[in-house]
Amino acid sequence: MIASPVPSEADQENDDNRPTPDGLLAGYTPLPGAMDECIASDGTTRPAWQPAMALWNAQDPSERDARHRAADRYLRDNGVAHRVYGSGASSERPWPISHVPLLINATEWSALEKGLIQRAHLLEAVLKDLYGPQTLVRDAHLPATLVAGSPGFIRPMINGQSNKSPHLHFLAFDLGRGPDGRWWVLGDRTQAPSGTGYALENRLATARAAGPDLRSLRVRRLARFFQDFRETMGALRGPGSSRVGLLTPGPFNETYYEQAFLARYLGWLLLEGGDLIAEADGLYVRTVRGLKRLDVLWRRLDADFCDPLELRADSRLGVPGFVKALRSGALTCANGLGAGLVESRGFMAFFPHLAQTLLDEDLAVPNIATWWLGDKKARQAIEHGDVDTSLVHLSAYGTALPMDADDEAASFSGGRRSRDQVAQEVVRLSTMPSLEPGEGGALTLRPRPFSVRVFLARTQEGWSVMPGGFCRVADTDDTRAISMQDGSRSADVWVLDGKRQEHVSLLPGSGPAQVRRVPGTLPARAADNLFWLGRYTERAQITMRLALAYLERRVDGAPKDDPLLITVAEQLERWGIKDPDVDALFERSVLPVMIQARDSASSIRDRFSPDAWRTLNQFVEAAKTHSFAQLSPLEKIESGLATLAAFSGLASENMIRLTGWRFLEIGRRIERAAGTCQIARALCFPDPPAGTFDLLLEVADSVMSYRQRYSVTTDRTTVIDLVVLDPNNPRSVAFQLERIQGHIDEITDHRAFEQQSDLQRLAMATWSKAYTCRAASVTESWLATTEEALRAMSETIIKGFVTPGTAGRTIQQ
Amino acid sequence: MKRYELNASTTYTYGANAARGYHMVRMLPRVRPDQPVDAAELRIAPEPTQRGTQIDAFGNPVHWFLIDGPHDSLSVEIRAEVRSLRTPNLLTSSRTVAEVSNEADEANSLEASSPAHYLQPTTLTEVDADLAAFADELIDPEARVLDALEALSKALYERLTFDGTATDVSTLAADAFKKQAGVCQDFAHIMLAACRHCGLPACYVSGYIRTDPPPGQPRLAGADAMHAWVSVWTGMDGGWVEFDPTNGVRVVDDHIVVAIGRDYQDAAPMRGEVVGAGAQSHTVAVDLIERV
Repeated sequence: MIASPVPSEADQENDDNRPTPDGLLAGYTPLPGAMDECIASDGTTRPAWQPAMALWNAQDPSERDARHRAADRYLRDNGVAHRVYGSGASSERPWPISHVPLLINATEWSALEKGLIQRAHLLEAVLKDLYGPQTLVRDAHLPATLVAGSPGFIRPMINGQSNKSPHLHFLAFDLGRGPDGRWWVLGDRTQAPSGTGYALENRLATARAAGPDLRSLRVRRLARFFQDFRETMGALRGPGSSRVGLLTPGPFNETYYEQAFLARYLGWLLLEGGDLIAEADGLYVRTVRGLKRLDVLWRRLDADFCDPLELRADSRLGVPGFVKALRSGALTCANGLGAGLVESRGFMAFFPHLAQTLLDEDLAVPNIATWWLGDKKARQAIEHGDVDTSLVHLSAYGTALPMDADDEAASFSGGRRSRDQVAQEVVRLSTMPSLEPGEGGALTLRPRPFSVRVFLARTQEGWSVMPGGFCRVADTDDTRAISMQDGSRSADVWVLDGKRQEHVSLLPGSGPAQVRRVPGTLPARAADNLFWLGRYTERAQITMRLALAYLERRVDGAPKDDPLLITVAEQLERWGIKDPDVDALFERSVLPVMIQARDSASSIRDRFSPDAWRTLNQFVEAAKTHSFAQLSPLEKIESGLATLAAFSGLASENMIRLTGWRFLEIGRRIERAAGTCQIARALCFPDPPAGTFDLLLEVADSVMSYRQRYSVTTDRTTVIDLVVLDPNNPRSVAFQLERIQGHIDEITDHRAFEQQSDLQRLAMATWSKAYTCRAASVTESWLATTEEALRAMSETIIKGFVTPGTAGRTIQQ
Repeated sequence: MKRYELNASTTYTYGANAARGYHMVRMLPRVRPDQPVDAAELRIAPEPTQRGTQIDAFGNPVHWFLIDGPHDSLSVEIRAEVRSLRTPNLLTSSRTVAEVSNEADEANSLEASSPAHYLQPTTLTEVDADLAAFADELIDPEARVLDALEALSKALYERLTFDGTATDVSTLAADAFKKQAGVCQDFAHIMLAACRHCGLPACYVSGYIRTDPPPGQPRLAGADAMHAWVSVWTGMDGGWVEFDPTNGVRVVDDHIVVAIGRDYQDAAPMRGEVVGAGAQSHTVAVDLIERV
């Protein structure tokens, strides 16, 4: 057995110049009966914490505050949020960070690594047996009722081709340290562990909080771990250029943010069940260029939701036929569909013995003492009080940590259903410093209990442990109580190394990477969202410009029954605004479109520069606040227009010119061209009231261009020419048509859809018509025909590219 | 020994053209030593793009097929010749309910017939307070298991009303019990929930019941569509015993077994997904005729 090194022993060598805690640690007193990570039992600061404490103490408090605020802002701006399932609509809330990381020295870490890798091997061996020969059950090492009762036991996977490949590729262990200094496994996560993305974000935020001093502490970096995992998964692909997919439950999942973040970070396709099609020989992504084969999938969707045909029939998140494709071994799914089995807490009662049976070793990092109450002897021992420790009763099939268990499960029901329960030792966790406002509001460090989630990935060199983790820090002194839902905080984990750290980044430009300019495969759903995002943002802009033109004239004293304003009001009604004089104009009409745009963008956050999404999200969130409500309608609209201008700028400047960007562009340009046609038609014909042409220029954002070209007076021919026909005016209809035609040419795959050649012809014809037209020939019906053509293009694109066969999936029972 | 001819069909008519459909069918009789199948045929229209058969985790034969292309209806027809060699009183158990429950924990197999699979409630067979109280009152842990099960099956037969409009395929056992009404599937789910609540391994059985009653007897309920009943494990010696709570009888040779599972979902005659089909209507016809 590998003994866990106990830091307090290492501390003893430092007898002579023992630093006495001062500064931030002044008044910091470890809790009675608990081990503290930072302060040893003799009151000295442990060696691993000394350099960091010295740095933090040397910081000027105001500088420290500024840095912490920078860290908080980083997390907030990136939308790092934890979705909370509440009554009614689920809502996201910020994920508060404790700015003091957990520090672990390299020696202790490497012992922990060895123990966790051993456990990973053990879990893999157990899965391999249970989905294969099942000798562990036959020879009574594991009870059949525990295995069969676990929701993670995915029966169709028994004896499939898939059992020949590993079940586990990525897993996590929740750890705590007991009063004796030993690390304990509190829980196993093998289904679809979350938290790595948050750990990565916490590292970025904590690095901001730590400032440039971080480098001198030699904190082990995380990027190498992800790089190895990415390379390993990439190597599992078959011949051809298929991509790795990340299967997500979708934007309503509590860790969707993390999934989108990881997909972007690793360069993988973020896929929902609806993006995939299973056939007997494998899995395919519905892309805008037809079906593309997928060989490797990182699954963040729980197994029982993956296939409505063979698993949960009520799942709308899965792929019919997925199980069959997997069973045949046609693709690698990480983790395997049955991998969640071993995270049932009942298994913890058997792991110490199974380690003996399967590995001929003791567990190097033990799990907390566990009794399965389906076992007669264990049940009797517990009932007779023979076990000398305080216990908590939990579901044998559940995965909740002892401190997260709801009260219902916490009492022993006994009797007929005792096989459904385990008794587990109540562990007292160690504490770490957490910076909190003390008396008088000044920040001081206080000891807080914590648990830490550590991640392992299978790489080509074997299991690799992420040098860090996701730490949950409680808000109370109760060393037994931790619950994220109850408002605890997260913290980064620093493994302190003696060596200088090499720099590894997953961003392009580091390491030997091949130049790749091939357009990626764009899932049809992403294309759909991008297309509509383009349309919504443009629609919001047009609505706002029109409303702005109206309101400015009203503010100038124009009466409501002014003929021009009546026409504008009629137009506004077409855009959803009933009475433009009403104060709530913005909230009722513009904001909903902005929210639709934000939601479209939210479903494809892996495809955006984070800045573009952030711009939109910040505005939508701000628009809900009280201070925004105090603004005048004009100010609200101006602020909305500024946001959309920033969004369009960021989207077009920072998005790589791949297929996805083209769909966004087509959406925007179709909406803009059709909107301009519609407004020009309504305002300029048959007899425009005075001021019409100036107003049209404003709405088409072409006032400056007009002034540069013409004298001050406006007339129909010149305005129509500029707003509709001028190929050099980026707001004109003709300009949009030219771009649309170009994009349609680029996205068209001549082999895939017959109607696409019609689409190309239509786009080309509409553009040429505008290109060759004279202003005097632009009639009301000319504009109507153009608008009609744009609408037809939109419909063809939706049918032909973005929703081929995805509409209206029904489960038949 | 009884010899049957079986004809069954299920037809879906779609409101709009379906673009694609992927289905799994469990409708042909299961082959068992006491239920030899002499002929079996399954026809699908329109002709599937891909099809095949497999055995599922509960040992049921499954026919799967994929129709890739527009279609406005789907029909599955089966025809089979099957014999039942089952006789009454073949199996007996002298165990009490509590003894059976304890014996189940000693199971050391994960084969389809292992009691281990059928102890846990599923979403459809979860008890609520009312159903739990009903089961507790009726099933004494110290009673002989067969007596307790007879009493349970009879009680359900007497208390619940057979009503095709009260429930649907996704109705929970507890909700059907509250309504005191349902179809064979609900009767079965309620009995499963009660048995599992009391620690007895119980499995869902889907199959057919003879269309015409034996001479001088009333027509059995559930003969118009696929039927469902339960099988309860009565200990190492007694093995599995089948009860039909919808008709208040022990299963002998009027029933033909198709599939077993933890609940309806595992044994459903048809499970599938269609894309873009719009509203759909569904008809079923079943004919199980004894050949004399």
